[in-house]
Amino acid sequence: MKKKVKFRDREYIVEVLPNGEISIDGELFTADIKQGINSMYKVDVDGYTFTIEISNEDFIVDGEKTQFTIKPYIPVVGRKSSKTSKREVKISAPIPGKITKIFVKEGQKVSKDEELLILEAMKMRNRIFSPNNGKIRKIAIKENDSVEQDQLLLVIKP
Amino acid sequence: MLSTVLIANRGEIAIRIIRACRLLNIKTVVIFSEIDSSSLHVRMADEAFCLGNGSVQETYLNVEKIVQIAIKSNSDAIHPGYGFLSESAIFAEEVEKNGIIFIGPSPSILHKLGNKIEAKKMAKEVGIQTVPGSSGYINTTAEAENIANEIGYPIIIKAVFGGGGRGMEIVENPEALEISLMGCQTIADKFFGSKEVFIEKYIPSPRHVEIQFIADNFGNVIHIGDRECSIQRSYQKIIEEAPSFISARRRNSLGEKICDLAKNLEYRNAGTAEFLWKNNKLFFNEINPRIQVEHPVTEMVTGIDIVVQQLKIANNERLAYTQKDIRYSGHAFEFRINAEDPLKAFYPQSGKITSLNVPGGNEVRFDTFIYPNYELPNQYDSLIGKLIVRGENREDAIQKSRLALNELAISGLATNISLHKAIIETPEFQNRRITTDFLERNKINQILDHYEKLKLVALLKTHSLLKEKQEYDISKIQERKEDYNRWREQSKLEQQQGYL
Repeated sequence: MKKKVKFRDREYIVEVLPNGEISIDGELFTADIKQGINSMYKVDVDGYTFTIEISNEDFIVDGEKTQFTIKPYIPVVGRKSSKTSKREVKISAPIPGKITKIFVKEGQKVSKDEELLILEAMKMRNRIFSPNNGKIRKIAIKENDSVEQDQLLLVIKP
Repeated sequence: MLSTVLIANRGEIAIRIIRACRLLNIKTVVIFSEIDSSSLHVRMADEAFCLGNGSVQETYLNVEKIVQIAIKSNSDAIHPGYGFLSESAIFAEEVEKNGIIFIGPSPSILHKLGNKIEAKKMAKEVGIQTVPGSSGYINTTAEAENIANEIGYPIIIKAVFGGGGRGMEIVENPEALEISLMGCQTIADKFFGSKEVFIEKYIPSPRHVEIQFIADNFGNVIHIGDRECSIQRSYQKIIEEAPSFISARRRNSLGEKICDLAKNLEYRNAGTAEFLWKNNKLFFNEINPRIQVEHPVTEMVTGIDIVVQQLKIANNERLAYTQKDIRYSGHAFEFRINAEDPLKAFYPQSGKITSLNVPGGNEVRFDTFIYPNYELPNQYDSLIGKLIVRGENREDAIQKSRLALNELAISGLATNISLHKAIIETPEFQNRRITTDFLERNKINQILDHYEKLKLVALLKTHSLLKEKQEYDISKIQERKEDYNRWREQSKLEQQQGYL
């Protein structure tokens, strides 16, 4: 279930995946609570350790008081555009990096916002989603490939 | 020895000067604006005088009032710190006129060095390379065109009396020349009281290197090493280190020339010569005739207390060191901790410090004036502290900095601590590829964004664990209730059986 989280005046879309990974605005993280003594926790997030202390309603991260609010995420349903493009959609790499996982096969039908692949760059795992409904016409890369910025990843036919 | 020193400043530098005075058994007098009455320098000093409620011009820049307080408090000397009146020849003159020692160069030197063209000329005289440009003031567009064609675009137009990153216009092509010249003249007139400007070749993304020197009143001058200060945001330094990356030979030859310049000037007290370093060439930029924010990195690698030296020089003592005595050991960093949000265009923050964790350990120093429950006003500079760390070498110093930055925690307002954490983890920083456009070049905002998300994930993970625990606790209570009910039923049954 997607949630909207407000943290330090910014809003993030948060999703806890079935495998326990946490996705924040399309970026994947693995978190693990290593220890909890009284109301103090050591949390490891992708190799970074944070010390979180809970006092009253406050969460204190590494000594710094922080607050956040969690709300359900209600996706904005846009009106269907009158002209559904029949043209192919080319998806290219937004940043240089490495393809660590591909979830789809050539010829497979995909729906809008379905996860296609994971592009890892500078230790950040970015999820790439399908922009619309369609069929995978071509996959130009394979797992573990390194890609340049703007390199073609796959083609979707509506 | 001086018996009383008035400190015409506030914030961390006022505290720094109080500490140096205490080491020499000098009584300290401070001044403060009304809004600063709970500031730490007021609490720490032996005597404090209020400058009233008003603008900076009416308080920390009020020459007349400050000199009056110095007289009233029987101060022998005034230490101006940095910023405020530290480079004001008018202030220094007024101080000396009243028989009080100004801890810094003489008024005439302050006046000379405030003029950037004069300073450049003097540097040239002792054989220091300067940035190619006009040899005098530029008044008309025709003059500007001539010099621009001679040195080639891009060029930079600078206010002769400018400073602090203001009063500078970069011109990329001839079309923009006229309007930039007029704009710069207007700003120069408005902020620096003189519309004089000059032109230099613009050097894009250089390194910023500087050399610290000290001079006594008897013509003895020594240089005490270099600093690398390239990591900046909007012309403000944020990380400095010592030594810089120039070779020891270069440091010494440049240092010697700077000492010659100081001797020619009959300079006295501490000063810093700033250079731009590009393509293996070092160009003289200016001399800052005062103590600098980043002086502690030099103290850490030389062991010399620069503020104490300033006080001793003001006390008419000879330098206790010769050039041969100066030894450099290890590597030091200074991180300027600013109350500003790097994720919101460095917007300055103010408010109550709700908690403060200060890092510690061997060779870790935190110079600050904030304390828990201190209400930070929004009128002044955003610098709230300086984390200074020394290591055996650069790698060791980075590792120590990493630990110290992790320990440092300030609650209540946004700071740039996470920016420092992000910078020191970049390969560019670790491999010494640092220039003045470091932040833009390394997309630091993306890293900060990522770091913010990591923090949020840690929070959410803890939050969900707590929720699970809460649900578990509730279910346990319900279980217990059931047990209790069963027991009650049981006893009822027994009672009934008893009646039977």
